[in-house]
Amino acid sequence: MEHIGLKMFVILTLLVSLIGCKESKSEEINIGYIGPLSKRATDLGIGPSNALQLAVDQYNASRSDDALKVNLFIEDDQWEKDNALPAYHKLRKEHDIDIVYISNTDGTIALQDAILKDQVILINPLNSDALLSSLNQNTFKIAKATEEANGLIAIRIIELGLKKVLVLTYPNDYMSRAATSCKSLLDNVGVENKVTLVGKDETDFKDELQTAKDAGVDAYVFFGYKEFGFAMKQARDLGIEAPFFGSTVLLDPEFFSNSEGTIIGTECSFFTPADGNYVLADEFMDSYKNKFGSSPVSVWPAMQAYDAMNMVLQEIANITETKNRNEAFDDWLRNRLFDISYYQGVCGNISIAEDGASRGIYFSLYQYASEGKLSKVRR
Amino acid sequence: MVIGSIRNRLLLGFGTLIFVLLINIVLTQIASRESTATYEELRTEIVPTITMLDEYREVNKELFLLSLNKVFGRQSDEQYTNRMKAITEVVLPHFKTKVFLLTQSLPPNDKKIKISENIIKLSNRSITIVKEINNLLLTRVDYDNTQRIGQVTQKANLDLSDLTQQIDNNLSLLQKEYNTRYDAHQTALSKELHNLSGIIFLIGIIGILLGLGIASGIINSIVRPINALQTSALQLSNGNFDVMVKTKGKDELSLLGHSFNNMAESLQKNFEEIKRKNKELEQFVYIASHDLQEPLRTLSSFTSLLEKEYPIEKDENSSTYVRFINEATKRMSRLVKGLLDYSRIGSTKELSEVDCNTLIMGVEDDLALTIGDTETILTIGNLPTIKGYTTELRLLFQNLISNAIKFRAKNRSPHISISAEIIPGFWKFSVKDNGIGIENQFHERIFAIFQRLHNQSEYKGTGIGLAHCRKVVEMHGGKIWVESIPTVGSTFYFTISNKQ
Repeated sequence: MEHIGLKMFVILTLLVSLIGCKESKSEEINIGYIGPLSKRATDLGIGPSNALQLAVDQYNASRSDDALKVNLFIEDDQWEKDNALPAYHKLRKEHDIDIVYISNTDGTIALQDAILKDQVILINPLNSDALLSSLNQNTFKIAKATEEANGLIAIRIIELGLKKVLVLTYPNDYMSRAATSCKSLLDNVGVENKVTLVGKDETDFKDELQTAKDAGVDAYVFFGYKEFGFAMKQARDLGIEAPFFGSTVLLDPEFFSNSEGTIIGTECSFFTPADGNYVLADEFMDSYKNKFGSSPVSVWPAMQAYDAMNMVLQEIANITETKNRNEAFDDWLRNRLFDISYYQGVCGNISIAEDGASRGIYFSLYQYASEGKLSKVRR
Repeated sequence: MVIGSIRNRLLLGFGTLIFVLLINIVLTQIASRESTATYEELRTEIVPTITMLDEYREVNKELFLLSLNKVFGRQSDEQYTNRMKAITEVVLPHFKTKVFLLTQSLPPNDKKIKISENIIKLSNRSITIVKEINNLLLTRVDYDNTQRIGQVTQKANLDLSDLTQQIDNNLSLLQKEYNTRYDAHQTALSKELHNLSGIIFLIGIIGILLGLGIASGIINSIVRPINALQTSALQLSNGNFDVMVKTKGKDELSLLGHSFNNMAESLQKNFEEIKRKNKELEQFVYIASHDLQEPLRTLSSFTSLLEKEYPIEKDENSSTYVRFINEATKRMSRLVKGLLDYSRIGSTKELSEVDCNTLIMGVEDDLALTIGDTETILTIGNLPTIKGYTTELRLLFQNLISNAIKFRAKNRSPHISISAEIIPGFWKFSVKDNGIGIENQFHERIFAIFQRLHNQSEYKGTGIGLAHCRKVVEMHGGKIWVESIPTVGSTFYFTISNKQ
């Protein structure tokens, strides 16, 4: 009898422990972020990681007692698609994340199989393009449309009546897609253009630039990162006076230093609080500055990330009312995100379309005015 | 109606009030539930819908104006284009969804469904046209394309203008429907609130009246018997033992009344018994003392005859014995007389107004010789006129003054002060002297009959004077006591009821 009693006690203890473990797991949600915190495009990684952390902290500080706690874990991919999967596995192994945010478009593609297998929801808070929209059902893009944002450059070139365009392009999906959209628009109106893919770490563009100068190119488009700062300097050194155009990433401080100031005057597509819901955006900027001591180098990646996180947190806050006990987490979150038709965020009023991409974030044309500063192009 | 004990009556009273309160709460809840439902429908459905339709109309017009501006104002930059995109990609689809969701809760034949379907259909066409305009006027260069300008002018001027108007008309129709519902709900809510207010007021008034009635009933049912008891107790305390409390029912106060009646009955019986025994005793004392006088007188007479007719001067012993017999006979005669006087006190039983000042003056006249011989100073204050037995009161004062003179100190003339003051229910008299005083231990004993503190050789007397005094004071419903300091003097206090 004593042995039976002891066995019963052990079994009950184990059951209680197991139930206890399960309960404690369900009381928290772990979210991962993979982005460029070093090496390249840090303006696309540091600001967003801070904005995500800010949103999580604000949520945890104001959540009700029965709402889930959210933890954010951050990994640096150095803007290399090859680092995305290892970073993801690390986050899964160490923190058992249910949601992953990733900024890099190539990295987003690299994680597709893994997130589906692990039933993890992926959110790209930086870019949304046609390719991304064709990815699996667990992938969402809460960001500007790549083609649309960079198409502004082509429209501007046409508007200025420029006739011959060189598009230097960094070899990744985002920049290639930007160049393609630009080229397509220019081709439509018969503007002569040439898209040249450069080497990944290339810093000497004199040959391409000299050739273009010789060919009478009157518009130079730099769809790439800080290395193109050297290209701008080299172009001016070659006596090229034609206008420069860039992508959405000109505010990387190294871009300016590499260009030795020749970046000034470059027109690019960009997004600032004035383009979004400026009341909420100003509030966000104040909170960001209070928490991190300064504004993000480039505001739009941080703003998009903040909205992307808050849209998810808004659903997590109501998980007890909206999620069935037997419903898988990814199924529940996917359905909830698809139901968002009007989210008032810092970037404006956002909806999520059937392809998992957001609508409502629209870039405008800006000009590099001085170091780290852009001003809206008026015409 | 027999309600039972006070406890039950109070419980019933409070229970009734609580019941009325509960009815009030239930009726209020029922009435307010209806109002709440109406208000909730207004708050969560009708008002948001009207607001949404307002915003829809605004956005619809804004889109049209933006399109006109883009086409005719040649505004092709992102400021306008982005807003048009926001409207066509986010805002209008959102409103369309809202309008669609409205139809889901409507009955199938509701005309609002048709209107809503029209709005969605027309908005879809409007969105398509705006997107076409945006695509046709991508850059400023496109404004120089006559064919394109012709196309967009057609789309903006005719198609979009017409669509915008139709959408607005349908939205206006839908809004009108909801405005009608809004008005109806407002009226209903107002009426329901008015009814609710009426119910609360009416039940409140009923509750207050009922409460007052119950409170008054309970208070009367408690206070009336208590008052009757109080009156009866007062009468009882005044010696009216025939008093009876009328009792009704079986509550605590009725039981108390029964007990009171039993007590009064018992008191009356005891009092009658005491009175009867007192009378017997008085009769006995009177008869005994009166009958004792006769043999004493005989003894005294024969002793006198013996002395007169059989001189016995030569026989000293016989003479002494006869003298002792004579003295003992006289002393016994005095004692018997004192006892007779004691038994006679109060026999007259005639109450009258007695002016104490006049009374004392009479006493003073009676004692004038003693007062003069002893050089007594008698100080008399302003004494009241009281209701009492004159003869007995005179005896009281006479005894106290006589005692004060008799027990005077050897080294000083007697000084006697008589005064009076009023205290609740009584006159309090004091007779103060500067005599030999009385030891503390004798302060009670001196008022007992035939109690003496001194032998006959020191102070003559029978020891009945202060017993007389106590009997007189008690006849007047008062008390007598002494405060004294040996060798300094004594003050005799007594009270006489002022309510007789």
